[in-house]
Amino acid sequence: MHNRYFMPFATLISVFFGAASGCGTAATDTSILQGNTPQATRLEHHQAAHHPGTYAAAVNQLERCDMRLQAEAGHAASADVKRELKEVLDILEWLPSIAADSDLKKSDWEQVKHSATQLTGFYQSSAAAVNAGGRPQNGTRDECRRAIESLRGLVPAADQRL
Amino acid sequence: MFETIFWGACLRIMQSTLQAAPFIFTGLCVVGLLHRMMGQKQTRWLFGSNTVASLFQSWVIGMLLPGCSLGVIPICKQLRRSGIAVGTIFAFALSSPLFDPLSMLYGLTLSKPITIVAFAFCSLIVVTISGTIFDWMFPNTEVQSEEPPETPHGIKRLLAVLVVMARESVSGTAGLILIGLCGSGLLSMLLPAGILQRTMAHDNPYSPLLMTAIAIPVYATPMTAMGQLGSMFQHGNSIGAAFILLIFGAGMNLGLLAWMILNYGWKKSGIWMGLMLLVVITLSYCIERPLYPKDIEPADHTHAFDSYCCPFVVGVSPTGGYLAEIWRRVKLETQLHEIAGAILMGSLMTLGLFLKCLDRSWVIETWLNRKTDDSVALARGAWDIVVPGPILAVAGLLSIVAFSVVGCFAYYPSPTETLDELKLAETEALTAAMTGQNEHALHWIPICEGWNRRLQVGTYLRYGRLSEYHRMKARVVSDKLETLEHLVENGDSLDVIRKQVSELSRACGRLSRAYREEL
Repeated sequence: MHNRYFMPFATLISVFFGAASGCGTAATDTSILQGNTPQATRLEHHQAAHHPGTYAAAVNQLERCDMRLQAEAGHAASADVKRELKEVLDILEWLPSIAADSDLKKSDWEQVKHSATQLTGFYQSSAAAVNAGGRPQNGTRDECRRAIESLRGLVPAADQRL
Repeated sequence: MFETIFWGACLRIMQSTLQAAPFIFTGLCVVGLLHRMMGQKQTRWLFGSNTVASLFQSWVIGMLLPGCSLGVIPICKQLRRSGIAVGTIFAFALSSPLFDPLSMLYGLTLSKPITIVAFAFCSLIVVTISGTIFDWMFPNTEVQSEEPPETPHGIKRLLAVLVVMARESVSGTAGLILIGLCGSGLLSMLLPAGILQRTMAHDNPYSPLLMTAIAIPVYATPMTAMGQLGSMFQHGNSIGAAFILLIFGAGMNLGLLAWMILNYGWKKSGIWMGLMLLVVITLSYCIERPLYPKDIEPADHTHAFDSYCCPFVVGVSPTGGYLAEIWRRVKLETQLHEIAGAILMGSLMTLGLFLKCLDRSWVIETWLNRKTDDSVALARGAWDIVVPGPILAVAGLLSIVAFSVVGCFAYYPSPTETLDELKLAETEALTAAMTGQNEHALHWIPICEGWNRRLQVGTYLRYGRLSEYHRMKARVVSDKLETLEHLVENGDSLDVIRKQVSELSRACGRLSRAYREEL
């Protein structure tokens, strides 16, 4: 090797062996291949408590939330209403992914996506009104109802085992 | 402990060497073409020098040519010999390893392709700002060197290209490449297994800075870096850190730094690095919020950087010993193009060493450069024209680009073919997980993830689009694969694992149906 390459090479080699002898003592034993990961270092993707497991469960949850919100429409917004609205918006955000994890065909999935977008628009404006100190909206209720019904209509197709 | 760290570094260096081999070979091909066909004057015309336009030219050429940060080292040496200014050389050195057609396609099928386009644009900003300031500070960095004598056309000219490649493969370039490869080993010595899993969070303001420290010694091919970027997006990690990983992880390595210092000294190299760090880190903080994907639920961990850490856990020796484990992993992970690259590099280096020995008695260049008999030239037919070297060089460079585009079709097969491969990998992974063979399962799960990604890219490549429905189906499988991976890593009960296996199996069935019947 040419002389001018000696210095960087020598530096690297010394750092290399320095690292080998002095570092790594604080290694956290994650034991990734041994299947004995300590509880503190468990790796998992946390799901919210209200994350529905299946498409059918998502539609049921959506209907329940919608009914409760409908009952509150016109009344002063409570903390429960705000929580309910957040929950419903979360479910609508997850809905395309939950529907993709079902037996729904492409056209049905696209319908789910369309209805979810429609409902998100409705609940977002409702949430904006509530956050501004107003009351939950009830203006486009028929459209909202129809969108939920269309989602309900796809439940049998979502699980071919049923 | 010493044993674990030492063998861990050996494995990382070996993996990096195999990954780099095809790119280094491509780099040497480019050097051969530039040196013997293009010539110094035409190379200066192609790349430009000391102007803002030349920075853009180099960036475009770098983006087109497939390469990695080790493969650009011999090209940088050749550009310097051709009398090109430092700023222009550095602009090429930085941009060439960032993207190639394979990795660009991969990036464009990620959930937010705009991020990849933005990253490419930001890399142009980086080379333009740093290069302009540097060339303004140091205006006379072009080196004047003697043009090699012209080789007569014909087979001799082609042989001359091969000779340049062979000689370069055993020159100081090999030492610099070795330094670059040692960066991966060094990192694995410093970072215990899995230590980076809970880092690089989006809400941690220090993520880009931590990534800077890690990414400079890292060696990553464009595909590796793009895969890691995809994983970072999927886990909701810091976008700024992802950008730094691309620029410094894929675009820089210790060998390239050593080359800069050796040729331009500590002062110039330090100023260049300082400028780069300033621009890249500033940009990374600027893009953190605007480019962060809104529809992602951030995970509290990532596996994207596991390959930079020690592959072995201290205190846990692999069954059969370290050497057997290294051999097993290398055999399982090495891909066909890497084997081909390693064989080609081995042959080139053997030829290079042979020529070095031969030099004592006979220098091949003397014979190659000897003029042919004029009477032979006169006897040529009207259609047998002599194509000028620069034209052949440009054709050669375009062929390399075309070859890399064609390579995309081989690397990303048709959906049907990919689904068959995915099925095989899935069977291995799921059977192993259900029967408690954790190591086997943990080997096959990432392979399933790889085929799942290739399925999307292969579809995009052939149909010119990838519907949101198909993207979502693949995402469901990817999420389930990762959950299974965690269950296996965490040592969860077989009942829990079997439940996940059943869910994953159904998701794979749906994925297959969607890609076979609904495209």
